[in-house]
Amino acid sequence: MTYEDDKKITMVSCGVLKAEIQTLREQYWPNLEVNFLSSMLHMKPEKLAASLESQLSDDFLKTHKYLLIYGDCCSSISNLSQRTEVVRTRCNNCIDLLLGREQYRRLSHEGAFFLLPEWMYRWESIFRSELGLDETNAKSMMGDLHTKLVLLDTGLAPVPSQKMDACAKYCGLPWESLPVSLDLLRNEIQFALNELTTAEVIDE
Amino acid sequence: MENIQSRLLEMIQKADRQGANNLLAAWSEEHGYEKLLKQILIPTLQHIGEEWRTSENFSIAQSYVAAKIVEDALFMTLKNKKDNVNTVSEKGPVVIGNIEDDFHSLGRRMVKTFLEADGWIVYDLGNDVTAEEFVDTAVEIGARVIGASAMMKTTAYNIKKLRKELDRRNLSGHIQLAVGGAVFMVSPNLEKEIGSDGSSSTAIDAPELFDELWEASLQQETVHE
Repeated sequence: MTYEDDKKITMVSCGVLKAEIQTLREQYWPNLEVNFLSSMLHMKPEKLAASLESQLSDDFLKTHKYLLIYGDCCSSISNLSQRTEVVRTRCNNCIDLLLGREQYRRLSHEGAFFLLPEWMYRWESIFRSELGLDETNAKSMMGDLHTKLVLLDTGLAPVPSQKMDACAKYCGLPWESLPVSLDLLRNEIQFALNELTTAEVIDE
Repeated sequence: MENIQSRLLEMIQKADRQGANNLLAAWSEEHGYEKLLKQILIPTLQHIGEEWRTSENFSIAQSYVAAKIVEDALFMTLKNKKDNVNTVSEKGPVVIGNIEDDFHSLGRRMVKTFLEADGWIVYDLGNDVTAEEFVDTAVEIGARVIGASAMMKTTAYNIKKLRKELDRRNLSGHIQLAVGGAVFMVSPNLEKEIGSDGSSSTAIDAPELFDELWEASLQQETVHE
């Protein structure tokens, strides 16, 4: 039984957390490589699955170990993360990765629709083009399902108040920003890294 | 008849809820509200159901608007219902909800709309519902079918707890377990793995599935009598 510590560890993360991961990486894991995939892949889970599978090809796994900074964002991600050389952060989605399960549940029960700063740059094209929701249908659907928009303010960029105002008007909901630290995210990444570096590999 | 169905379909494809409502109101004024569901809405929805199963081009907006049009039509029909006219048959009470940790409620709400249009009395427990809450409610109201929804694989695995709870109380068979949600469409073996009694690939198909499961529950009791 050996530990294959000589394999290079690479983090693969959704681009929605790019600023947050880069900040943490500089401070805590400067030697680790990070590949960011477009956050828009979340809109097409089958494309996200294909992108992740190409990142984690058998050839790459001969020389690399991977930490997936993702929630359960596509159906094959749980199978991918069961490979010996791959670990995924413990979360259902990127919001509970930042907030923790209990706060995520509490706010979800209050009807929160969560937004991240990176997502806000193209909120309108997501609503209009990706979801096909014009303002009337957006108001109706969001009003049926949610009571408020909650922007998770990770403190790395100014709160985009004008964009939030416009998005809130489009959805017919009030908005608020919620300051969140990066501590939980850092802890989960560190936990996953620890798992990855101590993963046992059976000699063939 | 085909003309109004194709116009309705076109409006759903454009996610034009108001246009569809105007169209259906005008037709109902002329032909009678009691005929709206059976003659226009249900055949059109069956057509849409086929497209949902075979096409990737249906957007969230189109799916949502289709469900809202049914909801609007139900409301309109009830509002204009003559006292002596039964537009929808009465079916037994059923329980639906998103399983523990799951907050993706759009699909569940659509299922509720289509079940109610089919005459079911639906107890919707909302999001993040535990196995105990599902079973307690089903027992309390006399439901023979529980519908549990999950969007992701991790939350779908929480449905196993519901199966265990039904087994623990010796209610499996008597209470049938239906499952649904996007993850079941891309993971065909999942529904068996978590112990469901059946699933439907779209919200529109849910009434047919609930009919089958209700019948299976009755059959189960006949066998044991």
